[in-house]
Amino acid sequence: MPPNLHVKLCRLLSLWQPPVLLSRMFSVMTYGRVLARAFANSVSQGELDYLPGVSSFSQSSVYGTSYSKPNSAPSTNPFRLVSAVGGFSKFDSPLRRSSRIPPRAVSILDKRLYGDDACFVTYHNTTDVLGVADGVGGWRNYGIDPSQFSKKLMEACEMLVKTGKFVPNQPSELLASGYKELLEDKAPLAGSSTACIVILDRTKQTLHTANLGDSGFMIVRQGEVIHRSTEQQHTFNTPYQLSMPPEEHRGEVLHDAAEDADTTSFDLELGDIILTATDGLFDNMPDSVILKELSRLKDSKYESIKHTAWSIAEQARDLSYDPDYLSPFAKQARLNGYDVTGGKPDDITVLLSMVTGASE
Amino acid sequence: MKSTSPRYIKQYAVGIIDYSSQYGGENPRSFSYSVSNIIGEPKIFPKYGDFTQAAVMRTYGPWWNRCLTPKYKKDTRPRSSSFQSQDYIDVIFDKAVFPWSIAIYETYNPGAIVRILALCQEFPKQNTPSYENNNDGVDPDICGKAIPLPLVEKYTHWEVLWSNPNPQFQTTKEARMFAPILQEINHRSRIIRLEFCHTHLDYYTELDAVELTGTLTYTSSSPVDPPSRPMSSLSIHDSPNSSSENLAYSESKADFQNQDSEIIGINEGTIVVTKNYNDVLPNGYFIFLPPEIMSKIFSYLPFPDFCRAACVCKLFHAYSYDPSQLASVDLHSYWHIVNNNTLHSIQSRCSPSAIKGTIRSLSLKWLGGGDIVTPDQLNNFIKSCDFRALTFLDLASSPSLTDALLGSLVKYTSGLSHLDIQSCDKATSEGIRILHKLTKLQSLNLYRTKVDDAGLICIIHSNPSLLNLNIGSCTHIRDYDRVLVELSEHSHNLRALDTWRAKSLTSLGLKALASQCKHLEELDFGWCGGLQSSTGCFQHLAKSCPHLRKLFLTTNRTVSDVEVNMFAQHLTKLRQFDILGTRLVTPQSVERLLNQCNDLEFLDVSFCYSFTLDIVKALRQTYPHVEIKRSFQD
Repeated sequence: MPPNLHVKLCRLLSLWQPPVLLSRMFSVMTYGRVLARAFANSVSQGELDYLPGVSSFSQSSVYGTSYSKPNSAPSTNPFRLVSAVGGFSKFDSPLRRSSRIPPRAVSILDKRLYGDDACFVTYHNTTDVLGVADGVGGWRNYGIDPSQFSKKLMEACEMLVKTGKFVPNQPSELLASGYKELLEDKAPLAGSSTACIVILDRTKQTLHTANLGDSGFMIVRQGEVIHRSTEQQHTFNTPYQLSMPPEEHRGEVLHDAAEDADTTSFDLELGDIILTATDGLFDNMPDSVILKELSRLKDSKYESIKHTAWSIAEQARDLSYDPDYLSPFAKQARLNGYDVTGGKPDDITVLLSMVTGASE
Repeated sequence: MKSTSPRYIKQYAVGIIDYSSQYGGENPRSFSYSVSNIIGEPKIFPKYGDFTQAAVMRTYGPWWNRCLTPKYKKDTRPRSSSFQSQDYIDVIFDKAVFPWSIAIYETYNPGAIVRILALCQEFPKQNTPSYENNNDGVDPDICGKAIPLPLVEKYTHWEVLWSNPNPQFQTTKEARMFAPILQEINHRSRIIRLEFCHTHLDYYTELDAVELTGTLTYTSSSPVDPPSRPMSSLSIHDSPNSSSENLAYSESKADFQNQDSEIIGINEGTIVVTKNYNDVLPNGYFIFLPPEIMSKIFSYLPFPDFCRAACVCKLFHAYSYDPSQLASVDLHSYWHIVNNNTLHSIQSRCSPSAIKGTIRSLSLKWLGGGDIVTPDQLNNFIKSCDFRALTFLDLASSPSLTDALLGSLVKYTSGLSHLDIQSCDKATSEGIRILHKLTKLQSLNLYRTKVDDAGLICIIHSNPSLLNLNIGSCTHIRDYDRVLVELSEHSHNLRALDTWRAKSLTSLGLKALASQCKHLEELDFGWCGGLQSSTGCFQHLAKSCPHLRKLFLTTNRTVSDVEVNMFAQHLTKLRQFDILGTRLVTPQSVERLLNQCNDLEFLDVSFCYSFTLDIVKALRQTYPHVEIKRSFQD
């Protein structure tokens, strides 16, 4: 994308922005400041055993194979979820692809990772829970690190799941409790974030989801999208968001309640693929490309799922930096009267899960 | 020995039975800084810092002890250990084992653990009752809540697994896995109590997890004895090398009394000797010592020794039964060995027939943990002792405190001026309401109790001389504003008030309080998010209460430079000041406060946006007499 076009797009949108109605476009404006750093990495379940339980950014884990809790009754239901994470910070440009740090070389504790996305994969008894959140980059202009909010939100949700303080068929309540938990932090948090929570109740073989904003999920069965989240936007590129304004801006900032999240329940079958991702993926990659990638997924082994997750993330990143490509985001922008082309550089988090039988 | 044992079971805690305090709120659906975070595997370790996922207790350091303490005669007897435990957590594990090692993951300010005890129960079958944490995994109400204690068997007692005999408190600034060498016990246990002493700590201690390793079968070479004697009397386990001593001093009482009585009684510490003792000296040469000297010597005996001395000879027996020795009794250090017989022996020393005014202050803190003293036994004790002169009673965290006991308290200890029943969760709102029948209360601690609005207001009405009130974390109080308004109308002498985590408190309550209670010296409004500085309530407080020495506004996000400047101007006597977690205060206003308040000794500016480590370091250098706290997360 020629820089001038990009600047034009940004100026266009930022002019149109109401001053305190924060949206994603600020994060697009920061494009150009390349801090080449891969934000994503993947850790196997084995490593997680001695790494601290909460990882803010991206972790990939296999649940099922290594999930065996002492003294827990042998699982009689055939369902389990194998999940893997892939992703990039928007500062990790494809020009620097060769510099992509091997996933395991980056500690998940590394504070210098600057993507604003956060996600988690965890479980409690017979429930698998996934979540992604996308911090609203506009807070950087207020001197607030936008990644803190999404990171803390996901950490809180993960901890609530681990300690069993949630109900599987009420994912929006989990999101609400996670948000409330942020108020209980000693640190005065500020920021805002979209969020998507996906809960698999293995005993009932049902997926319960809550989605606030423009992150989302899709369920693919036999090469077709059979269920997906709906985007929630106030106006173009201003998604629904959970927000926590700093004290001095109280009352001026857009805030949606977790209860506003779009919730669905859906019965799953063996072999169903659940793709949960931030808008960095959906804005840059049309369904057809995603489905093509997913069709290459041959088995439900963790390694292949991880590989597919990474390849989707990489493609999305490449597309996001392609100036001539008519991305889903650009199409959307055109519908709203902005004459733009090209991808939308953004943080990308892809969380790919497959429903498999317990015996595999 | 144990190394030959084939099977060690390693397990993390699956539940919390009881605890004395916690930093986090009482909402069972929330986890931040809640003690229940100690359940399960480590989540933070090896990170070091102040994390929400950790188990944190309410206090640390010497700061809380420097607060207003009620004036009462303290028990001056030496204790078995040089420390006094301040907090505890009882954790439960899935399987009862012979404890081999306990590892405690400490992720912030380690070094507070001073004693570890195991509750030894007899399990009827080899198959230990298995504790399943949340079978369905869907009921959030179960999680994080105190779990009812399993059925207590006959020989239930506590064994000390480890205690820091000579505390050399050294704190390191990194996360550690603390695994002391345990005293071998021949009992299985699945309930472990961790005792903490925070006085020497720099900041809050935080715990991540507890791991218990042990065997299902006893593998020591020493023969396995069934507990031959139920805990019949006081015994001391303070030294890891000494086996438990059980001295049945109270049973021996009858023998002495049935003998030809040489010593017929004691009157105000003076021994009345009637018979000639020329022939023999059954009491040794102690009889030649003046009674005052003997009394003095006896007053230096640790309490268990003092009781045991009754077995030595008739003279000692008489001194051991001298009611004046019992003016102040502190059984807190011995909570794990105090049982019904101990209470009986105290009772026999101060029955209503004795001179009025035997016990003036009594501390039964933590009494009855693990149900080794039942509520009925404690109730009988309160009923049958002479407590007419009792003014100070500490029953903090006692599971034996029930509504029935509270009923007896108001009846038999009507002279109480200090009462501490914090963290007693068995007493209901209705039960606590009866405390309004007490009328001389000056100091009342109801932290983490079920007291409700109506009950508390009745108590406030009937106790106009109230000086010190702690109503922090009382989840049954719906309207703290109303309570503060009542306090302002009836308790003009109020000196100290703690409303930690009073969510419903707003500026209305604070303004009413500040207008009427001009003598306030200590206020803890930590985590009272409803107090908005924009209403001017803090400025009103600064102008109205010039005697304030302690002011905690922990995580009040609205406190700004304006308020701090007001405090600096008006509260010149300020000693302790906490503004943790506000973005709006700058170092300039705090520096003004430091200049104005010369008595300031404690200042917490943790998580204040503009206080970087460098700024705090510079402040510490300029004001070396002030302890400036700055906590951090990573």
